[in-house]
Amino acid sequence: MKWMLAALISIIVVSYVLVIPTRVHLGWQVRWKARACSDLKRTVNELGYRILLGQSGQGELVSTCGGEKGIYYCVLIPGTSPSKKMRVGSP
Amino acid sequence: MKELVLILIALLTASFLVNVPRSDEDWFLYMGELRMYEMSAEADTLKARSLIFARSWVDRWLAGVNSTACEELPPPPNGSLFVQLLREDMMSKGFSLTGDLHYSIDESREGDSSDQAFGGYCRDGGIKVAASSRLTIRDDLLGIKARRYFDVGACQPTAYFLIREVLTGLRHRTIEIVRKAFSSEENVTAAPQEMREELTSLVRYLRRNLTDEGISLRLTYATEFAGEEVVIAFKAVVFDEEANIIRDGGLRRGFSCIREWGIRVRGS
Repeated sequence: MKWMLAALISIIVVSYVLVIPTRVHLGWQVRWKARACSDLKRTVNELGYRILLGQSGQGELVSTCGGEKGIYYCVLIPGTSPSKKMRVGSP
Repeated sequence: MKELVLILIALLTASFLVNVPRSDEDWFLYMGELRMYEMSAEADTLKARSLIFARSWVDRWLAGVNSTACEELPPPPNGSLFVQLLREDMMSKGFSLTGDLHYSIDESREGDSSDQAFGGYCRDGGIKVAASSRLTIRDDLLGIKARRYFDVGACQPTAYFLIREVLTGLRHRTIEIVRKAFSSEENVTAAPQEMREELTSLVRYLRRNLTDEGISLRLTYATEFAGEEVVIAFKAVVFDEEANIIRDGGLRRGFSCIREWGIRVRGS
């Protein structure tokens, strides 16, 4: 019981003390954004016209980009009707 | 005590795992790197996005002229609209887009190259789209820019130009056949028979050439005698079974053109 309690407290402490501050640290943001942008490029270039058929690969087609948690990047896909954006997030 | 030790070990392990960056790292350096990746995502997808836009434009136009007379020439995609849409989107992200994108439309030939992002292939009489871009994305705050110049070609596989040419040629040829058949004043009664034979021969010749391209042709006509005049109403239907058009998020196969015309000649 004591060990379980200790493990639980450890997880909570580690989450609050380390993980959350590093999540907002720019160094991590850059790494995650770099991955998101790289995945986004690959997704758009590989899918090409298939985006018009509603395919989105590892991304998602959204009307508006933003307002949600996580690090992601979106590019507008002109030609989709109504105009959609391809969003790829990381992690 | 054991719990405290465990917590300390967990904290220590986690601190190694997450590799907390040094505190003296430059915020501007991070921001610059961040913007560089974003700019790269915008710039390196310009070519694919310009082709997606072109495919959407051409296919929307093709869907609109499906089952019509097919007399118009396909309009080139509006490059200014593409640039304007991107400019507005990039402005909201703090980037500025300058330069232009120019499209042109031509008849495709088998063996021409087609970029995979457009999703077509080149065949004789199809629609070839060429895009020429000179675009630059800037982040004025950080003083970074990405320039992308490209010239790319792609083909819409619907044989629109071929069908249009066939229908135009067919119309001219039928006028010649009818006028020739009814030109002889001595033998007016034999004219419809002569005309039928000529038309059958013409249609057979055209079908022989078009079948290999996956295109079928049907020509019907009705002869009406109005006093001294003979009116012949023609209707030609050309169907391209190899055509594929993206419409409403789906890929539709097949494209047809239906053209009607009438010829009036003196019967006697």
